[in-house]
Amino acid sequence: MHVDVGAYVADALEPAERDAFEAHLAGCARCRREVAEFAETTARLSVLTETAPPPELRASVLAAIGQVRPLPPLPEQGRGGDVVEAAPDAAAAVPDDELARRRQARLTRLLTGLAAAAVVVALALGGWAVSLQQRVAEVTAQEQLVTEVLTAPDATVVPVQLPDGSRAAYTVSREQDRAVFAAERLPETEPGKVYQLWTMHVDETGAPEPGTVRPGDTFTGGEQVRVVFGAVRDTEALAITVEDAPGSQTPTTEPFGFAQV
Amino acid sequence: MRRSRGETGASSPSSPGSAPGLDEQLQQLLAASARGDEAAFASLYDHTAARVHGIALRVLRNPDHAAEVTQEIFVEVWRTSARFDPSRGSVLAWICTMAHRRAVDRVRSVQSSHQREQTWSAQRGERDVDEVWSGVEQHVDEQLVREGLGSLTRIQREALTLAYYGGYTHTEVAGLLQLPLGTVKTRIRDGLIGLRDALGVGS
Repeated sequence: MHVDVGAYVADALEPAERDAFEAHLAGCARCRREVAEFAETTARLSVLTETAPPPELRASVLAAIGQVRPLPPLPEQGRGGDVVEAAPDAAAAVPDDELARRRQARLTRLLTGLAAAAVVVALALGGWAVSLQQRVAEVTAQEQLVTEVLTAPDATVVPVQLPDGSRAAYTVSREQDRAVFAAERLPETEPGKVYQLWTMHVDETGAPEPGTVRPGDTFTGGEQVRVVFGAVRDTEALAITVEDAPGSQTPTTEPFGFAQV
Repeated sequence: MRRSRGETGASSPSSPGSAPGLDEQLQQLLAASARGDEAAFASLYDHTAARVHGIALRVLRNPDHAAEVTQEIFVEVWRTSARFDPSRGSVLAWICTMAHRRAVDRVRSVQSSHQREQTWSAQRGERDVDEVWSGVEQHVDEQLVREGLGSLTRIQREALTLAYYGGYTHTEVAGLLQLPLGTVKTRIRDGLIGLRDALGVGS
């Protein structure tokens, strides 16, 4: 039973095991202490995923709590009760609260739907959510497509660093057979030149396999670049070069933004 | 937010997750919330929302669901604010524990494990770890956590990160990593012990 303590705190036990462990916990001071320590430890893990919620959520939360009265303290509070109570408490829902919660959840969905693209990119790219959000008003067909890829259930985000040190990311959805390249900024190319994406397979060392490099779409630089590419379902890696417009059949300049996807 | 290795709140075995000053502040905000102080609660939200939302988004991978869970958690924090007991641990751990469990319960109810395993197997190697490790804000604590994760064995790290960040059960983790059923629980615990010690959490 003691061995379950880590999986319990990481919420990795199967439901029946979770119930059994909580029963065990009531009578095992050693496990209770370990649960408390591990809970502090996993809380530290959450620093790596910190992501600001959509700004609208704050008002939504504050409106919601206006309709909920805080519970009074437990009578036995202060005598060092049971550690497990903190989390299960969260699952107990009073019917009235539940209705308010559902109403609020619908409102939240409406508000946050708009911010969806922003948040997914923010997973990989930190502070972008805000600037993306400012642009949400100007939704175009292109942005709609970007949003679809970014919110695909199978979307995989692969961050890359560009030669000037700025950050970018590929988000690939194989189900949709599309990828989005997003960069905070990409220098404008010289007149007559374009950026071109390349797809390829890689060998076991992760290096591009000659003969598998295929030309992809071309695009231009600028601020807050978002490009949607197709035909990425079978690719194992992506890279970008600068080519003569309207594009090349084989890469002729040094590739950058190489990433295994 | 300043944190340093091994800096522990002397009285509590479990407060080093955050700088002592910060958790004291969060405790005061929570206590005020319990008395119905909405401004204090707003400040508590500002201090912890990115943590809660980050956990939910990471596990659920769906911005709508993540926002919903974040809202649910904060309403729950407000509702149960008087039930927080500082002798059991830090405010941040209390909130993060609640957030993680709610996110995991949600992901298991909306997504079949089959679908999730396919998503994982379409990726490769330590992708989940790498993804978590890159592209996040620079942060002293972040560096310590990274080093702590780096000090684990690869299997411990994979088991722990798949369970915590991926929201998978130990049975699913065993399937994903092709490990014998039953061994993953030990890996997760060993990983948490290693990380706990590396971060100086504990008495």
